[in-house]
Amino acid sequence: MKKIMTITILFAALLTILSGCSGGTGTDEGRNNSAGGSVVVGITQDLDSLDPHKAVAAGTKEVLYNIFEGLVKPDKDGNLVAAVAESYEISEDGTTYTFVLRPNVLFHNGKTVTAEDVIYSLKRSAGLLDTSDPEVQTVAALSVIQTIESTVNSEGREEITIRLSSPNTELLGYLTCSIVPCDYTKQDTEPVGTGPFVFSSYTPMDSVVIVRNDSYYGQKAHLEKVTFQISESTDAAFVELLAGNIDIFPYLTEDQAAQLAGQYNIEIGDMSLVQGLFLNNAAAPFDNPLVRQAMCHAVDRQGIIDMISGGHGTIIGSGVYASFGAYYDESLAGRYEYDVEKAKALLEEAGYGDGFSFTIVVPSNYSYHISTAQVIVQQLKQVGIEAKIQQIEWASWLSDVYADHNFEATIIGLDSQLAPSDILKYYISGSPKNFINYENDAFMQTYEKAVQTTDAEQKKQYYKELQRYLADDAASVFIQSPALLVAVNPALDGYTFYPVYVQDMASVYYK
Amino acid sequence: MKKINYNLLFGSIFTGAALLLVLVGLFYTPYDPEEMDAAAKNLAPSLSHLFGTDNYGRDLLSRVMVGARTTFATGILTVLAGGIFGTLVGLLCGYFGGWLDECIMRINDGILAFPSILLALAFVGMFGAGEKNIVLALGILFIPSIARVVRGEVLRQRELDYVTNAKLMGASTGRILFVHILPNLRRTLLVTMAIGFNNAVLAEAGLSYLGLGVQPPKASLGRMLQEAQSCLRLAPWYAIVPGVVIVVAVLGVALLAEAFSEEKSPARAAKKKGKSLAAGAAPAGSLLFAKNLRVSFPDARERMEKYAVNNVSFSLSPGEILGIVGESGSGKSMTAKAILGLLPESANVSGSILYCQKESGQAIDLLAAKEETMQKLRGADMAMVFQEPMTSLNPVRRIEAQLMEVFRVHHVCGSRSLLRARLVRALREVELTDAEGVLRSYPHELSGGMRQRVMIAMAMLLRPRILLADEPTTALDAQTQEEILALLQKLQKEYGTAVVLISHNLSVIKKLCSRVLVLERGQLVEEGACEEIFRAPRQAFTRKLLQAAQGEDFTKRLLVPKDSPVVLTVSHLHVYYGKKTRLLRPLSYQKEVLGGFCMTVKKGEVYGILGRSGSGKSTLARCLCGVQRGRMAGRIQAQGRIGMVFQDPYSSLNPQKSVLWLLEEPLRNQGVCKKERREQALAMLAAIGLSEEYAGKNITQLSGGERQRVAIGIALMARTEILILDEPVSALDVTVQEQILALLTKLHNLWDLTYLLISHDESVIRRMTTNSSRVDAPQEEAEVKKTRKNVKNEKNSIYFSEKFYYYEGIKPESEE
Amino acid sequence: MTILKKFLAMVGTVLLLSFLSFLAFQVIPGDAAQVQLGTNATPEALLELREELGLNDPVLVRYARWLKGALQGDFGVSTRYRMPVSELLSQMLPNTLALALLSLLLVLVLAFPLGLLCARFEGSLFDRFFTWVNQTVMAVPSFFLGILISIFLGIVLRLFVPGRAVSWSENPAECLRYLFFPALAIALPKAAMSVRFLKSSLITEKNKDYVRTARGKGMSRTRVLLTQMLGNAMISVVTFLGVVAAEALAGSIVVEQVFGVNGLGRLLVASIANRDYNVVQAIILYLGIAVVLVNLLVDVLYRRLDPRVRRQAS
Repeated sequence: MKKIMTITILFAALLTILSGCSGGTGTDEGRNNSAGGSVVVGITQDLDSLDPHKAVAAGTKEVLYNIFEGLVKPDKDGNLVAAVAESYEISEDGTTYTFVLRPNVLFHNGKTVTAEDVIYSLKRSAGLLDTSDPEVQTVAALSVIQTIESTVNSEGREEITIRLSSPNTELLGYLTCSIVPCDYTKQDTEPVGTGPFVFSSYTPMDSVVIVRNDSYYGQKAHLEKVTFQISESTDAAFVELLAGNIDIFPYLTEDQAAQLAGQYNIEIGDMSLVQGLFLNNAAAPFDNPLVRQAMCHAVDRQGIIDMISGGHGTIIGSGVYASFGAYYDESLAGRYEYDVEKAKALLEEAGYGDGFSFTIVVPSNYSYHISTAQVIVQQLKQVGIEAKIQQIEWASWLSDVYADHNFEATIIGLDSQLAPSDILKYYISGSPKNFINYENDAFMQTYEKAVQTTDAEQKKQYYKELQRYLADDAASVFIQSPALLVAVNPALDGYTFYPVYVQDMASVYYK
Repeated sequence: MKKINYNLLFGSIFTGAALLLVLVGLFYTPYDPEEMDAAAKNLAPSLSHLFGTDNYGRDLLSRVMVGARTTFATGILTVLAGGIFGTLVGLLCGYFGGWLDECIMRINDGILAFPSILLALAFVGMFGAGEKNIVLALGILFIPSIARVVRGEVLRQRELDYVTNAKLMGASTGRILFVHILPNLRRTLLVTMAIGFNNAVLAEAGLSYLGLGVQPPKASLGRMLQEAQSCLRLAPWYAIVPGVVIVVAVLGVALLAEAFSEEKSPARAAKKKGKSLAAGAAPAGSLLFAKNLRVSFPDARERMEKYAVNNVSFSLSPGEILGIVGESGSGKSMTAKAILGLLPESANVSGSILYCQKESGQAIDLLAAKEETMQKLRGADMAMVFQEPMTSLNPVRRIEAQLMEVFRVHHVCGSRSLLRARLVRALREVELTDAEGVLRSYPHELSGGMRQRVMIAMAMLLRPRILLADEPTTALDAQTQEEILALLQKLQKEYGTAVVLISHNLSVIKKLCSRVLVLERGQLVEEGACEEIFRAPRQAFTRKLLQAAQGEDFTKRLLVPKDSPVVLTVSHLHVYYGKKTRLLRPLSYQKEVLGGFCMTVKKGEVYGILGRSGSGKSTLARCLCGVQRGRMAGRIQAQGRIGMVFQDPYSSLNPQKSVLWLLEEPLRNQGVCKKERREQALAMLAAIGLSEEYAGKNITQLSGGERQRVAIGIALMARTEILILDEPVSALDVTVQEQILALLTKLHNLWDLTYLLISHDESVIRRMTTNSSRVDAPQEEAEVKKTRKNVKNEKNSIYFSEKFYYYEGIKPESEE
Repeated sequence: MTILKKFLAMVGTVLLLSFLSFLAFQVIPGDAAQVQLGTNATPEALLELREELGLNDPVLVRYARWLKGALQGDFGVSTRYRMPVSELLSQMLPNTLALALLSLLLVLVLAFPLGLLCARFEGSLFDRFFTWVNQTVMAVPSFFLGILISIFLGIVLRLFVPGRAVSWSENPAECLRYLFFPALAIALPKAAMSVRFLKSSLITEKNKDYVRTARGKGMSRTRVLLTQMLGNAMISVVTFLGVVAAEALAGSIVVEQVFGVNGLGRLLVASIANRDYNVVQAIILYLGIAVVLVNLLVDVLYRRLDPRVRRQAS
């Protein structure tokens, strides 16, 4: 204690030196109570690209959501509503999509959106352009597009007709992909879209600033300016929150939220992620379904949620989370109840009666997953399984775990577009996304059918069946869709949660 | 008065507390440190959880116990891994030097500048995160710093005589490095490793903070601090507990290292001025009157006051030259320092020194005077000249600035040019002809004699009434000695300054002084007029001193066989100093220190080599032993084993070892068995006149004379036939000198040895040798080196002048 | 001559350093293409992007290409931020430099008075108190010190707003005001070390003969300390300060993270994570050059301070 005392004394001494240069800080200048004003949103990941077609990180997409729009975009209930397109129509057989473009939609650079821009944007995303930029993320699902044509309809509106090579009724979720001007080359540095906010500036590792798009076609944003401030970590952001430096911060831990209670409104939503302890189905002992099932029984999901997120979060039992509504099979959440004895029995049956040891690889930048891992390690001890945690860099995770499948178990959250096929594509054998080496022919066949069927009810059944396969095979230990704890400045209102990972600033306003 | 060593005390307490925590944690923790409990999250410290709980409901006390273990183990392992390799690298680089050193030190620099995070990442990338790899990464990062320190220390140790000695004894390189040098690096290593430990603990914390260190749920102090960050408000104890443990442990180790690295300085004495004993009036006409002067130092080891000066009284009249004689440690210098009030702070002084002031004529007690009063007196009324002109001047300031300071301190007014003129005059007075040049010089640009003249000029600048000269000529060669003494005498006559001349050299005293004090172990044993004492000493000690100074002629006692064969021939030996040619530097940078030296030594002779300091005598000795490095030419032929005794007994014997160990060492190198080694060593101990109880003593417990005996013994252990004695007695007091020379004579006769006696002291050569050569540097070392320009020329002058001249020596006076 | 030789050796060290870091990237798993494409990466896209980024060439070829560019002042383009590395660095460098100079200044301002006072009054209460403070400050992990400063000075006392770093290019005065606090976190431990070093150097000088001479002239202790001992002690202190300066110039990764300063340290960490090796190489080159320059400066100062060395050089 004496040490602390001396430090305090030292500080006190320094204060007298400093007192001369302290001035008014943290003032709330420039904020009005009505429409307008500016907010600072804390984010913990630097943007990986400003070009919406190149961005991969969920953290980037949630920012770019404010600048860009697709033909359609999700609303807070998970419905896809018209955006750049005014209306759309999907043919009965699921092979033709027709969009009527909204007239006089302006890009931020003042140019009007034309069919040409839309076609360019879609082709760019689908990897169908003649000259391809290797950094552009090809959306595999869009590869079923055969032709895209533009026509002018009877009312003089421009129409886009997309024809597919095979039926697919859920392509719409992928058509949220951003519409960008076709002859614009500076998307990397000065992105131009059609969204409610206009890109203003970006300083690497520091901040992204966007301002209100006053020529937005729809409901204009309230805030004049939004600064996404990049913090090094949740902990660093927390200090800034304490200092009142950030108005909105969406990734609080439960403990942090508890500490901010008086200072901020804490809003709780859903992260829309499949968080799981993913097991390498090709590596012993997890090549044995019995072991995987034992693992599922040995992990106390509610225990995890109670421990690290104060009880907030939705338990899942398979690879789909609740935001998918009708496609989501909620009955699976209780498929594997927490049962130590059952787990032990299964292990015994699998020949691992004495338990075994393995390593959980966790990307070091996700403290949430690291916390989860800590709890799991403790829980697995109960059944005699000894797990070790190994933090690795994100880049190493991508190459070692994701690309090379060189791991035993990992904890990660999987996100997706608003299409059930997207969240399930991680389990298709042969796909580069299938990092857990899940193999099930029946699953494959059902997946094909699910994507292609045009009958809505049939589709739901197929997708529920797919989820059952994953659960029955215990493909991995699916844990939860974590809760999103957001600290919001009490002066603000209108913060909205979406079933996808976005920060919609257009709806936020000062009370 | 015993003073507590706070560093040691608190260092032990803190380290002990941290260790206790870890040790208890090994056997018992109140809870399972990894056991989670959602109901017990973030509990404040209470009886059931002494330090509270963390955000997983884990008990912090238990966690900090195992966490501290992990962290400290990381620290210790890092230090060990890095320390062992670093020491090895440092030893090799320092000892061998050359391209190996150059290469490794470059790589060293590289690692030092390499971002540690990248290195840590590379390790983690290669082997995965975890404490083992952190130890590896931190250990590697630690290597350069320790290698650097060890290398520096080895470079210093390598030049010490004891290493040369070990080499002469036939020790292998490995043995020299690990048995002889390494133990002497103990203290340096200890301190560096303590710092390394601290850095490693802090680095573990930092790396864990970045997620590269210890993996959860395993606890380490760094991880705990990192995890605590998000709960600073909710559970401040979470951060405080590991933070305090880190600080306590690191602080404890740092304090301990501090305590061990401290010089064994005598404990600080309470500052109390000695009470002046009823300041009895000074005898009329005396300038300075010391009465019952005592100076003592608290001796921590023996818990008693050690008197350096004990009850000494004397007086000094204006204008007289008072000599103070005595052996080293007799309190001569302490007396002088007491007068000026320059004793170390730890000294206790009592008695009185009355000084009769210039203007008022009133006496003040210098021991009781205020510091400000003393400051006014020093330099103005009384001044001092010290033994070492080399170090007594500030190396980084010009002579002019240093002299000018005297004026400034004593508020002597005058324009700059006026004062400068005074300085020039003062320098001319001490027979420095190029006074202007000297003023512009830095001390290192002057020769020893010139520096001593500058010192005298500085002392005499304000015409003090008392000049204290403490061994003013001991460090100078014979001729310069004469000149300086003459100068002192001249100034004393001219200005009527009273001089207190301190010397162990009786001939110096005899030449100059009118009155003499003889000190023995701090006590005044005899006082009287110079002539009287020299003619008829009353005390035994004085007689002994005088006798020793006269010196016995040992040649009469030496047995030298006739017509014996030649055992040592040196022909046309050239030796060059200077670095080897590197890169593009031309060869001419080297200088020649021996230019074609020749000599022939017969068996049983005592061959003397006489030369001034810096003339290359020691180089010759090193060549004969085969330990000289660098470029050489010529021929040396020897029959029989050569041994060597060095000048400085304090540096030629490994301070870490016992007498017996040292005596056995040569035999150990020859592979003689243990029992026989011991017998022979004990026999040698008797032969060199030391009783058996010395066998177990550490070398640091011996006096100079005893050390020199051991050194001789070691040199003779290896069945040496030719013994090179490099200034074997010049560092010793006169009485001890005689004893050593007698021992050498005895051993020579006993074992038919051949001696090669190297000395700058003509009387030693005259009294000991049967045949001799002279190595010489030319005499004109006087007044050359001042201005920048001259400095350049000087290099050339060294190159040409410091050659050796070969004389056919002083004729032998051999005797049957 | 010596300076030139030293300089050449240093250049060699810098080259070695840059090559080593190139090699390090061979060892670490993952590459820029992988990071860029993330979870959507297909083997074909990876191959294509690697080709475009020139990652498929052998390491020596890449190093040679980089070196060639670097020698012409072209450090390539950041794969992550898609801007020329030089432009990126020119955004970060002023912050790091300002932070470095500020912390150096603080070190000097704190260390010299304290070191001199502690040496002058060695053993006094003052000396002992500050010796303890020193040891304690040195025993606090730097990130923790940073957090303490943020919490105490920022949150509790509201002297500054943690995390709201102002960039140099925006407002130099405000930038310096903010940087004072991270500079404090960097400077405190280093100042503590400097105080200790200065003090022990001064105390070593205390027992030297020339100090006795000076006292014999009638100079007061304080005067001897300032005019005589300090000059001599500086010879070893300047080397130590050189190390401190080099470390400060390298940017403190941890402190920059804690205070959210956009400096080279943070950029280095981020670029390593992104496998953005052009940026890493440029930063390492900068680090190397900074170390070289500081060393040369120390050498020059050394020569100014110590006339004995000066002579050898001539």
